[in-house]
Amino acid sequence: MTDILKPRDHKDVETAVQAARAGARSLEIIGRGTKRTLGRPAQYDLTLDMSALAGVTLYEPQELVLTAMAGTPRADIEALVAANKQELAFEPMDYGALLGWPESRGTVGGMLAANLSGPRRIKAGAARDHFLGVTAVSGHAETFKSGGRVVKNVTGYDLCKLLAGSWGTLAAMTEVTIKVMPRAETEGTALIVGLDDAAAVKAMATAMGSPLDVSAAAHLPPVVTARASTALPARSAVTALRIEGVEPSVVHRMRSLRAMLKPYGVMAALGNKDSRALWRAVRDVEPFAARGPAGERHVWRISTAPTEGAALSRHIARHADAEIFLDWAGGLVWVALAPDALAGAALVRRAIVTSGGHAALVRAPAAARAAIAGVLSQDTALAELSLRVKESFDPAGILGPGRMWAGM
Amino acid sequence: MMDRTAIHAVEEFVHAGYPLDVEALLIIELDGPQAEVDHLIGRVSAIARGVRAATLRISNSEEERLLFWAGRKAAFPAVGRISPDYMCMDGTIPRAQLPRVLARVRALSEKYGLRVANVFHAGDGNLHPLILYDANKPGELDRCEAFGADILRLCVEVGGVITGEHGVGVEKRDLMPEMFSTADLDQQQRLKCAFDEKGLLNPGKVFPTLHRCAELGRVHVHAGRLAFADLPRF
Repeated sequence: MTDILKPRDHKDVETAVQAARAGARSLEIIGRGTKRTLGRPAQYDLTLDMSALAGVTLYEPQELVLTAMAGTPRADIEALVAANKQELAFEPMDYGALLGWPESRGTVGGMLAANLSGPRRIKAGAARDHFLGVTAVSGHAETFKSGGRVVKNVTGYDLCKLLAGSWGTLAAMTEVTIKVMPRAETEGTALIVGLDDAAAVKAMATAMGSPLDVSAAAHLPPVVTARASTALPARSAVTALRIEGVEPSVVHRMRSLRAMLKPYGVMAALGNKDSRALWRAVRDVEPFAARGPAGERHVWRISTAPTEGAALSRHIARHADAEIFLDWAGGLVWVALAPDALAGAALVRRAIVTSGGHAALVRAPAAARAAIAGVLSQDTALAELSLRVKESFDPAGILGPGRMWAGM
Repeated sequence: MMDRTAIHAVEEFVHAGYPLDVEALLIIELDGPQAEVDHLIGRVSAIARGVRAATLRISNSEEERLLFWAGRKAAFPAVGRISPDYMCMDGTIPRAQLPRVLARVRALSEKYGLRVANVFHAGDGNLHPLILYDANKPGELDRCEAFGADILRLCVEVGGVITGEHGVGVEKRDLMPEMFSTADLDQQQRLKCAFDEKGLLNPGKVFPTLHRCAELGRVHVHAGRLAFADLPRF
């Protein structure tokens, strides 16, 4: 049986890791456990539940900076910054809909450990790019800090960049500092109706290559359109491009964007409210929600070059019963496969060998997830470097062994 | 942003038309489509009036915009005209600390008997104090370096960092412990070992104390004490 440790402060975390290290016991680090069923399942001797390390310790809206204990609910942080007309510009997705949780259940530590991002990643980056500072306990059971609370900082190595996306395998973060940004005053979304994937990728590349500062670009085929938003033309493919900013600028750029994309097909538009709802649905992959029509399907998240998005989708759709939509102008491919996970893994692997990129199995029964070695990619040199980085933080391999890759 | 010393130095050099009877000057650039820029210029102007700016000028042509920037971009050579030598520092502070830090830098300037001109990226709190000195006068370089180190310590004291964009090589190596504990630095060096096990890449830079990679895995270091302080540096 797994023992659950619930530290109340930083010192408790250090003590817990020391004990795990001394007893050579493996340690699972969780916030509120919302992403436990995502990726590789593994068993651990101890669970370090960080949810009691909660609270915002510093928020200076004028400095665009926020520091919080790692177990602080992200919903609390999002509400706090929203009250000051600010937001987390990397638009972190919420896996709740996909994994069957109520929305916004996770913690800020989990958000960073999973390096969450959203449709705006193509413009603003991911959590990693907004992660300014950290205090953490490494697998050496030593407390270390990195970064700071200012945006412009090149002092020493930026360990925050590594901890982002490390899934609790390098260190237990106790306190984190992130950048917050003013929220766009308004937004609009231009829609092109009826394109196939290849034409949509071309249209999105045209828009992204323009000076119009498009902040999101997604392509939804007919099967998922209605599930994303009832404001979209039903039973049609829709290519959506978001413009955000101050009102006069949004009006001007929406007009320019629509004029520019007219040769691609029939245009429509969403105003502020419908636009916000659509991108929230795209962000959280609601078309493949656990409680929706695709709820039984296995969901893969594939990252590739935007120009490969259409070819990769075509490859998968030709060989399997797949529902697919594209975000990040084609660079993020969400795939919902009919449940036959092992065959699915082989197919996804072939697709990324051809197109380049990497893939993660986000939702599937534990047995299917356990059968996959980890994130699928082609780069063995990178895998070896990852192992050495892991050893530099956690030589005894006590933090989340097997969580990201089998045997690591 | 430029302070009085910097404004005077550059105005004499490039004649950008900067006001000379002010303590600080802020250049704010907005870009985007015309409709957006017009809108934002209005809002920024309102902010400037709200804080009672002594002078507010808006460029009305590309030529005028470039002239506004000419002074800022020529600030370093302009300071080179008024002093035989200068040293450019680079630290970042939380923006709200600017008045306090500039006042302290001025006090340090008096203490060390060296002039300082401030030119920096105000938007992100990245300071570039230029310390004016004369390398031909015995002791001035040492005083300049001590002054610079004090400025960087001040940056850390108010919540900032010792380098915003220039990085840590040899000059700032020994200031790393101002920001980092031994455990912090050990973890960074372990990471270096993951990439460079034989220590071939720029040994002696970034870290105040050299370690062989094998040591970092097992040596326990007590907080605050530099391990292997007697290891040779190069």
